[in-house]
Amino acid sequence: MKGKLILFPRRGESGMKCPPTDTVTLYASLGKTDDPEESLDPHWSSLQMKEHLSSCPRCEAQARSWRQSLDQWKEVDLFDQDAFSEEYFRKLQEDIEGTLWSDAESTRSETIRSNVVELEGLRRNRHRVAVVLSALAAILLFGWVGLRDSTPESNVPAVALESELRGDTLRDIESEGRALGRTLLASVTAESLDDESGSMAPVWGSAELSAASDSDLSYFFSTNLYDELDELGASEVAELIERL
Amino acid sequence: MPSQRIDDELLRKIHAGDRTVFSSLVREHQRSVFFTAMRLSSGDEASARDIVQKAFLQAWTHREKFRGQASFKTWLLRITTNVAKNEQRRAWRRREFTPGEGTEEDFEPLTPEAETSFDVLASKRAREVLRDAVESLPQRQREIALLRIYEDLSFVEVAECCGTSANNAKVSFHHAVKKIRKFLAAKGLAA
Repeated sequence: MKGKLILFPRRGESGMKCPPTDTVTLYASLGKTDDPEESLDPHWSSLQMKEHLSSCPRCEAQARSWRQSLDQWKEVDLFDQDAFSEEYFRKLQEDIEGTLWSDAESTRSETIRSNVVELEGLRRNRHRVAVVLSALAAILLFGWVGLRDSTPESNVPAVALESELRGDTLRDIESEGRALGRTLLASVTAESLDDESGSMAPVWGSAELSAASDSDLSYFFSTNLYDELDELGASEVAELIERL
Repeated sequence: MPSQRIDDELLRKIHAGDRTVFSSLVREHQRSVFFTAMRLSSGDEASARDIVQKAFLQAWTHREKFRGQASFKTWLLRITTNVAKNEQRRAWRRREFTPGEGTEEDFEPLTPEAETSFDVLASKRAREVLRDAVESLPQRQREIALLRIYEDLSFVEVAECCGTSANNAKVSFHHAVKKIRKFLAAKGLAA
């Protein structure tokens, strides 16, 4: 049986319409580095939020509690920063630079060495190099002449090969997309229900993407596809789930 | 204030491999990089130092890939996060062959006298609870929460660091904070 989640607008103590809990906490999370107008729920400007919080004790308490948590965690930190003195960082910098410059030197001398070896090899084998270069030039020339004189029919195998390659690429992309889709789908089911506020968070927006190993996915997929998935509507998500 | 972007002249010097410029960048950002590495490696100093060395080495080696579109700090923290992630994967693989680690000590409850309020987080034991809470998060949520809370990066910058969208960074951060609060509450610490 399919259930439907019906959301009622929250009401503050004075009966005013309150923003969703997530919007309140998001507003409370914003720092000096954020542009509030870009970061907030499009239905609630930062000015409206400010006004609302000043007149709704319930939302104000929620925002305060959230902010307080963040401040306290920041103050406590996960380790004692005071244990690391100026002297510690001076030595750390020496270590870092020691590694950097020695690595740079070794890379440089290696490059020079390999260039010298290459040049010496070329000098030693110049006759052989000349023969290889001539052969390459001949192949290129014949190839060019052949292509120029060929009829459309004689080009068919080349076109077929190109189309085959394109087909392979498409199949690769499709399988990569499917693999990522399955990973996302598996992880998203655990994250989609926002249990505290009782509302559904945007399904793909809440996907826990860490399950997908970055090294297994190309950069293209790990950036663009996530954004694409964020844009999907409920019916499209349902369709995608069906296909996967 | 958002992190500062680098001007063209400085960018040119970085690309040219100017050691003086790079040294000053190391000096300026090593604390952020080291502290982020400490947080991402569960406070293990040796691992953090290793991550810092590798992160700066990668930044130096691939300096021509820095285009100055993000701030240098954001770029460095992105490298740091990736290096830490790789180190963690290696550690996990090693751990698979060394059973016996991570016993009941990891789940030891707080003593009753400590279960009073969030203020006790000032104590060493309570800091460990916060660390446990952060460690209980999925990797990406953890990275996003740590960069956001401790490095004061905007959501856009956090997204740049973690290779995701700003919207995803916001949602992940929201979930992370809720989970940490829940974890602390379960340990008797009012958040």
